[in-house]
Amino acid sequence: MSRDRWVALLLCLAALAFFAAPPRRNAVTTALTWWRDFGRTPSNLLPMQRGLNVAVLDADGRLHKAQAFDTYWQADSGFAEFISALPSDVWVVVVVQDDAATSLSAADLEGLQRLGGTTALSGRIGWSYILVGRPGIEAGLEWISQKAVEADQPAGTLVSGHPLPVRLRIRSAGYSAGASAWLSTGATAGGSLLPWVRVALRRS
Amino acid sequence: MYLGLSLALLWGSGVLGARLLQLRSIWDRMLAAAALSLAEVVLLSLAIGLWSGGYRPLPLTVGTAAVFVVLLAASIRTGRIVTPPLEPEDRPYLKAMLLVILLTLPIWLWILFNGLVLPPVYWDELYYHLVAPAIWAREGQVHFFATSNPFVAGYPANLDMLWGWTMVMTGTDVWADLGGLPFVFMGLVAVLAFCRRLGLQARYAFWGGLLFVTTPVVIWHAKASYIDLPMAALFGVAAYFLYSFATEGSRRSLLPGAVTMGLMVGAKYSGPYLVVAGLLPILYYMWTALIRRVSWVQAALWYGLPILLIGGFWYGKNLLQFGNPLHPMRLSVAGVTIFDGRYAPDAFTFTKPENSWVTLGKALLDTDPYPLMDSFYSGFGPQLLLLAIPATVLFLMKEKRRRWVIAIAWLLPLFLSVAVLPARYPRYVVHLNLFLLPFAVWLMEDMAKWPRRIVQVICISFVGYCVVIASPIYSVKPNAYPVSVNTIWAAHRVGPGSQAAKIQQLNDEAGRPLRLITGSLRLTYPLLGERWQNDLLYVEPTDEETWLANVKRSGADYAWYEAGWDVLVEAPWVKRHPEVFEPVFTDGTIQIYRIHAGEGGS
Repeated sequence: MSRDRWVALLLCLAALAFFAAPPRRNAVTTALTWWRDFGRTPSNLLPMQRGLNVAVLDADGRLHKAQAFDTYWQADSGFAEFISALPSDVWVVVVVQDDAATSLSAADLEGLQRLGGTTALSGRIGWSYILVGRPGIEAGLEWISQKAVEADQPAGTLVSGHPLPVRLRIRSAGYSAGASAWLSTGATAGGSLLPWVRVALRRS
Repeated sequence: MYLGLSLALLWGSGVLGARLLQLRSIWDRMLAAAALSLAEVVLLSLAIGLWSGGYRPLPLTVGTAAVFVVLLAASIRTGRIVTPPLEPEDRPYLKAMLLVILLTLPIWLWILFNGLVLPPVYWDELYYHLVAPAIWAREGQVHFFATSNPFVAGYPANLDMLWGWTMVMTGTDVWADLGGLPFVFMGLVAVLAFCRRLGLQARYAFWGGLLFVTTPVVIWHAKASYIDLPMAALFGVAAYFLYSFATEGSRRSLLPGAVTMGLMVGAKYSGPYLVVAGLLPILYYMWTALIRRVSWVQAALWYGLPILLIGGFWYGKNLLQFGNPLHPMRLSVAGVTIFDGRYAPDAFTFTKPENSWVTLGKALLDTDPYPLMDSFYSGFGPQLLLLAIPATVLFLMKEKRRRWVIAIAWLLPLFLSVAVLPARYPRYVVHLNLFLLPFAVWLMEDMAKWPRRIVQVICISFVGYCVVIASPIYSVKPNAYPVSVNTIWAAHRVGPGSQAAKIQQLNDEAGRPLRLITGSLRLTYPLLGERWQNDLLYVEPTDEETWLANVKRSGADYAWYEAGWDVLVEAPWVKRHPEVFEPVFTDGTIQIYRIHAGEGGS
């Protein structure tokens, strides 16, 4: 066999060995998983951090701000001040990840109550919790459980007489339920190009 | 507008400069134009930016226009304004280059998209590459300020000045974070230029270019304000010109090679070692040429002066400011410390933590299942280990006529660069692919038709593999993209700069820019705020009483420390004065104190 054929044959064998090795298969699997998630994962509008994950939506249901407050660790996480500074015409979704009760202060509970929540979260260490409300309303939508809780509220659902502007899909998992926080308004990461273009223009 | 105009003028000046040098080959002209344009950015940023108010879009653009006009006048006066004609073989080479760009266009559009929608999220750009440029752009002057971050204070910043140029022209970090992208194409041109110089056919050089631009580290670093990919591309360009000098002895090649070396010397502390590696082709020519076209003195001047001019500033500045040109690095020779510094330099650490060649071997054989910018292993792609290295060995065995000049003027500088740049991170030595892939092209051209086809099919599988593993932005989880779209700055939460969220909250609460005292802070950039509005102060811990008085006088709103700050001299002082330092936040990674200056403060 000529030198060229030997080279081609050896290269074929080396490439096969290279691609068959577990590190390469793992690398490809990791990458493909990332891409699959990029295409399919609904938009999670929350920061996904320990404590109270808060999303503030404007009157049209667009995300205005998302922030997490670690009330597991801190009594003065800033949550109460954050809520008290909100205007009255926004929607607020509060979702617990991991634990939000350990250092939850009286001021934080007042903040929840200002959004139409109760004091149910107080002392419920590691519990899952969701609150959908608006500043100053009487009663928001509230879920709390030791297990994970999920809520799927269609657009138009009345909350103290105010119709939800968009569909909300929410999931909270406390410490023993897997520790995660999720809020989606229906759009997927690979959805409309318009928001991406808007951001690109704004940033550049 | 200013960015586009200034870049056009810079490129125009580079092209005119290359014509004045009378470079015949279009590849030489392209690479020289790029190197001269980059050098102009550095020199203008220093010459104009060091003056108060000079580091603004208008003065810098006017400076660029002035240089362009001078070079234009010189070109007309010397009759070198006309573009030299293309050589016959250049046309297929240009087609090969365009084909590589077209085939990989989806990758670069994806990189562009990420650059436009995601803020900087990688470690080193948050640590130091973007910090000083942002402050200079905000304050309209290149100046040197007290900071607790030793890399911001002292690291040479030639390439950071490129990021700074885009930041001052646009007021955003978007284009700085895409700063790696042009260097992908510079590397591509360097690969093709070297293939051309080896006399290889364009149809096979195409494969070398394709395999280089799809190298995983190259793709990863296209969206980053890191300087590793730029350094790799620049070293390839410098080595190309110096190899040309080694074979032709023309000063026209020596000058752009030296300019490129100067850029590297002023960009990274490994630059001086690369300058030594670059001496090899020069020495080869001076010792082997039957009739020397330059004298030893001329060669020394043409190589040394541009390097000093373009790369020397930061060393002089550090010497004056810190008494150590390599601050914050330590320089020891044979156990004797010449200049003291906090860190040992990367270079010449052959055995720590392990022999660099062992690390390189691991990097060639292994692949991180979760490849990141800073992965210890992976990044070169299979094309280096399986194709380029064996092809280089075969070339040296078979090409008896050219092997010595290639070995000494091309491969030995590469060997030295790898020796002094431990492959602790493959990103340090990604120029391996740039230097060795031309030999894969040679192998392909040298083969018979059918074996060559098989090799080409294997190359396609390499390209596919590299693109698949390198295209995700691993530091940003897919579900974080919508968060970044809605609240841009929030994307920092998905990267190492999670403190961006906290600084945004504090800025929102205060409703004004903040003044922050920092100590041993690594992820400095996010603290400047989304519009670089916050002031970062460093109060040097001399003694407790003086330090406390200075803190009160500083007018700082908060003191901001990272995990592990307990080792700082001032740590016990902070804890002893709760009336001044009120703890307001910690998440295990950062510790924030609100400062109460009291009556004695501002």
